[in-house]
Amino acid sequence: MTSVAATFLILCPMAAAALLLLVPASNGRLIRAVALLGAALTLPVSIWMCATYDRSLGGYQFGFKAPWIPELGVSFHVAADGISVVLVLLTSIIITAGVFASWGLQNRTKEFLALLLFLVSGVFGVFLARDLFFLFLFYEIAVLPMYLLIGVWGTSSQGRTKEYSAMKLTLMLMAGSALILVAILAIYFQGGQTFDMDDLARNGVPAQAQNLIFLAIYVGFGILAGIWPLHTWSPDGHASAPTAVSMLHAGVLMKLGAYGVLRLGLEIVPNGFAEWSYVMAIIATINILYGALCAMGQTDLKYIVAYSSVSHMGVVMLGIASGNSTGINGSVMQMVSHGLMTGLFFAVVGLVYERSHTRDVLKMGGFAKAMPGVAVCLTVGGFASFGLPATSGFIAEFLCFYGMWLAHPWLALLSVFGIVLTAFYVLRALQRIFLGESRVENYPDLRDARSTEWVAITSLAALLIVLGCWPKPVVDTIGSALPKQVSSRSVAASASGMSAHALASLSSPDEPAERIRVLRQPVGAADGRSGRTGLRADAQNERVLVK
Amino acid sequence: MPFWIIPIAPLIAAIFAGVVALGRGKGAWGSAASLVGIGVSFAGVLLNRVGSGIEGALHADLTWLQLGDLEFKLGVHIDSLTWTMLAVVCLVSLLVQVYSVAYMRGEPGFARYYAYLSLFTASMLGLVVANNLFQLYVCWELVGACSYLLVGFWWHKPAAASAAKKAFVVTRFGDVGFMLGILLVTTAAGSFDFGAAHSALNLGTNTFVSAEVFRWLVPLLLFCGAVGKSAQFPLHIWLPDAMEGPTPVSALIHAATMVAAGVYMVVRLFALFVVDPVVADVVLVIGTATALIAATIALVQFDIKKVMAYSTVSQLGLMMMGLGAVGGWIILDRKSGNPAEYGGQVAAMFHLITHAMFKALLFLAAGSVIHAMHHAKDPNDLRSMGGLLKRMPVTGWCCLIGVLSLAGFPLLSGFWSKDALLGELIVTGGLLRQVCFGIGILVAALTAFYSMRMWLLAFGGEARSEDAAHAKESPWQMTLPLVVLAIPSIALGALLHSGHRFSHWMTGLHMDFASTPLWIAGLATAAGLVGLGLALRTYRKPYAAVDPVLALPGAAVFNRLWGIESFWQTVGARGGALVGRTAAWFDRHVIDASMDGIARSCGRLGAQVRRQATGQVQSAAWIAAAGLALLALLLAIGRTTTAPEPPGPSSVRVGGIRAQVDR
Repeated sequence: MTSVAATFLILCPMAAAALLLLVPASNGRLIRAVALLGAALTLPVSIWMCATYDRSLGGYQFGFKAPWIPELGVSFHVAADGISVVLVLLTSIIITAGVFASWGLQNRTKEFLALLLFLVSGVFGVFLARDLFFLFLFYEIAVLPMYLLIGVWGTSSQGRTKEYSAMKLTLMLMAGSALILVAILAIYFQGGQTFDMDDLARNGVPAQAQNLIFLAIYVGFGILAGIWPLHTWSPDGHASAPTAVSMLHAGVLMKLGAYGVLRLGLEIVPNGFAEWSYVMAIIATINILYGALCAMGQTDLKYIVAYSSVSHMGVVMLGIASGNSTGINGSVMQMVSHGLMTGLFFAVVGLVYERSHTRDVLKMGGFAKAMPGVAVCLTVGGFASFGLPATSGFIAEFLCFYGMWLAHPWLALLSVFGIVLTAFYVLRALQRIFLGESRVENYPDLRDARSTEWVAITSLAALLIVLGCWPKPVVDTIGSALPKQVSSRSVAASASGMSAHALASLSSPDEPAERIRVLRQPVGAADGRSGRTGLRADAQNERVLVK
Repeated sequence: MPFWIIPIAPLIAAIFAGVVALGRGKGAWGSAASLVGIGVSFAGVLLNRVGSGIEGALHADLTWLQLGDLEFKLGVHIDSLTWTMLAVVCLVSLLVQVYSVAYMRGEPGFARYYAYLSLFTASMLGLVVANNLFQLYVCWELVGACSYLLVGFWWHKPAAASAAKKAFVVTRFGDVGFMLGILLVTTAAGSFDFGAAHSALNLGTNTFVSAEVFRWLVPLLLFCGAVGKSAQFPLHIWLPDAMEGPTPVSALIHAATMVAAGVYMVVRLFALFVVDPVVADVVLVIGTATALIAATIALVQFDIKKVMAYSTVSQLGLMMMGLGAVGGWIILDRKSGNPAEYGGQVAAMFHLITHAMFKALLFLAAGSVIHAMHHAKDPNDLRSMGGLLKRMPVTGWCCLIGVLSLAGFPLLSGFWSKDALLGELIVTGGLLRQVCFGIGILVAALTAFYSMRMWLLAFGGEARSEDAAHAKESPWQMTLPLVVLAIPSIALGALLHSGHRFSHWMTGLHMDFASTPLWIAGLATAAGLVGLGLALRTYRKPYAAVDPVLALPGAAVFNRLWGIESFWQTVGARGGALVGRTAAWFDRHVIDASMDGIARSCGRLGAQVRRQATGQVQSAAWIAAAGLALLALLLAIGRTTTAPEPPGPSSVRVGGIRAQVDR
């Protein structure tokens, strides 16, 4: 079981997709049953993986490796560490909720669900792959079906046709793929002609090549994570996509981008990561504020949610850019939290749109009267979105800000203002949709969620609260992946800045002297390099920084 | 009874009531659960007595989350300060919940109301017992969210919906500062503990700002949170709007407990606020500005709840003045180096307690009036009241006690605590504090005037409308809390003040706080009596056409709320919307357009290149020859380069090509 679990997760949705092609299109019930089975079967497996993952051991578990093309160093190698198992569980939850949410779809249901499941197996593949060849392959599987899903089943809005949105999304993500491919090939040739990530992490890539490789990785994967100014596919794409696709795309696919930066950056090209971390942090800060400001200026519900994703993915990237374990832990936590939250958002937006036939918040009002349950769920999601304590958004954002504060305090200072802007546009949207003067009379079809939709939205809302009140298991699981990865190669860009101030304030000589000495060490000693980012902090150093 | 049950019991009640509300169960179940929850908490407070100061403090915590050395703890810490605040919160909360049984009877969201109320109580108790900055922040935000939910309880009223949003967003503005302060001090201290924060502040190391800046920056950032939560100038604008919520909620949250959380936080972290004297001066100036501005605005209000709301803002400003007074005279404890002599914060806590009593009383009385007037077009309007004392005597007399206590009538509770606050300023000395003292005296006079005006307009004279003429006294569930609160409004001040009981209890030190010179008491009392007298003279008889306050110099400014509201409307709301729209426009028409431009130019390039493929053999041969020459050139360069690859863009590509060639 241990070794097949990962493979099963990748193949199960794919097999269900293949099976769907054999079911006659007229048999709607069977189609939905098969799709649900393909999606929901992954749920117990990923829960099992999370539960049995040995946190005290850490590292990669559930490993499975089979040679594929030995001459080129390609092997089918899958394994999961603490970060992977958490993200895999998120994917299972979102796809299951997504199938529930698209239960009522009538137009070419078979093809839609088959593509959706095919896409998800790609997502599982990226999170589990330990071989760059397969990582890229799965990445493409996850990205490409989006073109059809939006182009065929999407809706046009704001003067943008669904074909335009689908094309823009695909072209921009493909440009990113090209950069990723270049980076992977460079890693292959520089890192000893192997695609195996374990070997690459062990052997390392020559330091002078890492800068450029990481830049390609950052931009290539970053496009999918919505980094500014390459985020523009996201609002149009998410607004045009059908509900389940938006849920999956914003909920999980955008995480692939962040995951790629985190995984390849920290494991294989850590020096390049360190070199660019300051730039990443600046762009992440722009993302947070800019995305929130754009969301404030929108009246189309889907655009509001899409720009909020741009802003929240900024928080994810901010945590990654901090380069310390606190920030990265928060970043993965934010991936989970944002995945659940935005899945909930798009599910609810889909419900409201389906019943009111409008997405313009200015035309809504008092909907809580007709759909109280939906209102409660969206309020919970909104609270999570601006990081209210007791929702998962809080601890995630707090850890990201905390981590960034250790690395670049000024950027943390700026980005914290995102929580006010977010509160502003989220509460404004809630007010415009659900509260105030009732306009329910204008919308005769408006009613609360139905059976399968209930399952989707209430379970997502409940998870947001449960994770917010008890994040320990998730945070600990993520944390078990970090010491080996991060502490040994932490960026510690802050070390130089902090020690300078520590020196300046040598006023009280008795106690802090010890601490200052420890902090001073990396400035000259690290690895023969000087300057802002060449520092490599060891585990001890990281501890001191956090202290 | 274990002491950690105090914040837990209302939480369980909230969950229970929430389930009832979601399941459309009978509302009575929700209120019953809620009352049991707060009852258990109150019993827990009364049964777990602690000594004075930090003597016999109760302490318990558990680690909620741990990341490396950074521990996120949730805990309970009860010393005399905590105990005092707990008693206030539990008492007011219990009375408000009893009161609401009648006030909210027949509301469709009855169970939901009690779920929110219990959740608020749990969060507020969690805030009070917090022993670390993390828990303080968590509960700080949660009480804000509960306030949002309760202000917007009547969500179908547009005014209530916007007021709820405004209350949350404006306080969140302050919370950003609070969060930054916590981040700044905890990243330096490596721990969320209050004690660690204090020592980090004294050491001032490990931060990105210099130690001097650090010393005042941390407390001022934390103070931003108090400015938002305790509705201090310039963020006080949300509190008057928050009156859109049900009146018992206003009494509990927006008068007695949540808005006092800012004051409580400063008292709790007072050791941080006295490290640098500048901080106390800022607190003092903000408090004074708030007290004066709000008191003048309260003069010209006609909405009974708005008068009370501005009065609350003003009184909170007064508490902040007391906290800021301390600047000049900190005596350091020889052994620990911590400030040991307290004055301002004891006086501020003293006023917080008495204010909680008489202001909750006033709000509940106002609620009783509004309940009686609920058929009127605007039940809050003082102009349509009058003569209510005859119709509802219990409410009327209790309200008078509250008014007199607020006005500082001799020997009532407000008298003692206000004197103590103002006395601090004079004892500390210095020009700034003397000026603020003068303003404080003025505020005392204004307070007496507007509160008496409100009472006379509502209860005195003859009924000015049909509804007022037929108003009925409220049921016992509503009048009982009034009577209960009237007792501490009269006697608590004298009780705590006699023999400096309260200062000893709070500090654990047998030193007297600000032994107020008699002339201060005389001056403040005289100011209060003058205000009362003026109000009596003006409003004893019905006024002619226009309320005389509107003829006062400056009344126009007061009426326009000093322009602060419109300033925030312009800068905050409209400016924010404009920036949002600009950003959205920029994103679509600049950033997105340039992406489209890149795509289009690729297309155009393709069209150009396609034109080259003419199909003529001659041109094809030319291109082939040129390509061959280029390749040859590249190969020649590649062979001559023997030096190690320079780092840079070419290294990756060249390395890749060479690897292939070698093979």
